[in-house]
Amino acid sequence: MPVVKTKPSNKTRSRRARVKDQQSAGDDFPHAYVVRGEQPTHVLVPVEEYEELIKADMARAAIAKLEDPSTEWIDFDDAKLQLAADRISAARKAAGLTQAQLGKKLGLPQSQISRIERNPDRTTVRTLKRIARALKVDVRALLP
Amino acid sequence: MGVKVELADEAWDNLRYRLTLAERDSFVSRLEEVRQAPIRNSEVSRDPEQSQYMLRFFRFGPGGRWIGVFEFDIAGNRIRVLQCRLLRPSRRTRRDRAGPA
Repeated sequence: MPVVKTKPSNKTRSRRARVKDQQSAGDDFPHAYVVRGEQPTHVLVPVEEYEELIKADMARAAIAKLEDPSTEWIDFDDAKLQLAADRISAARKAAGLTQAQLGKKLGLPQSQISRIERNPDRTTVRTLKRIARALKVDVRALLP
Repeated sequence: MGVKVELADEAWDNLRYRLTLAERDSFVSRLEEVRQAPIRNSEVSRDPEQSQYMLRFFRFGPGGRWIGVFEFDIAGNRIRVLQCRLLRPSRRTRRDRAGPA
């Protein structure tokens, strides 16, 4: 193994990096690769091949997840509600308002704003429209 | 259709904290499509471990940059989303910005 005595700067290393294509590498190594010094450091693969590698990796991780008894499962319908709730609180925060301030604008107690943010499916369209007006956003921005 | 859909904790964390609103919306609408017709609206996974599970993928997000993997349990009428992952770079490269050659 050659011993590297001095560490070249990033700029120098970048200049030294070169790409060898498959022709120069020969048929036994069918991808282009990046070489720094004498060592290949990266392999350039076609996107389709890269995606297949990612999918295989994901499949392995997915099986491990399925077989892990500590995995927690969230019901998708509950998740959708939570995402809708996140939208309302994100819009309120973007407007720079606290729950109490938004409640004051709407003539509602802070506790009701909190309830709406936690459980927006029990909120009427009329209230959502009022919230959207108070936050100066399109009501569609508050709906999933 | 009575297919029950569940998300694994990691997939849920990704969905909630890493995805943009547009990507979340795309995830939700694509998963609803998958729920309606799990086989037709997803692609098969080559299972490297030859396991007992039926794993399938669906793409979502602008340009299909994200990919989700799920297990479809036909007997139990249940879909379990196990992972979401960014498949393609979210930023355009210098070459993309220059336009097609």
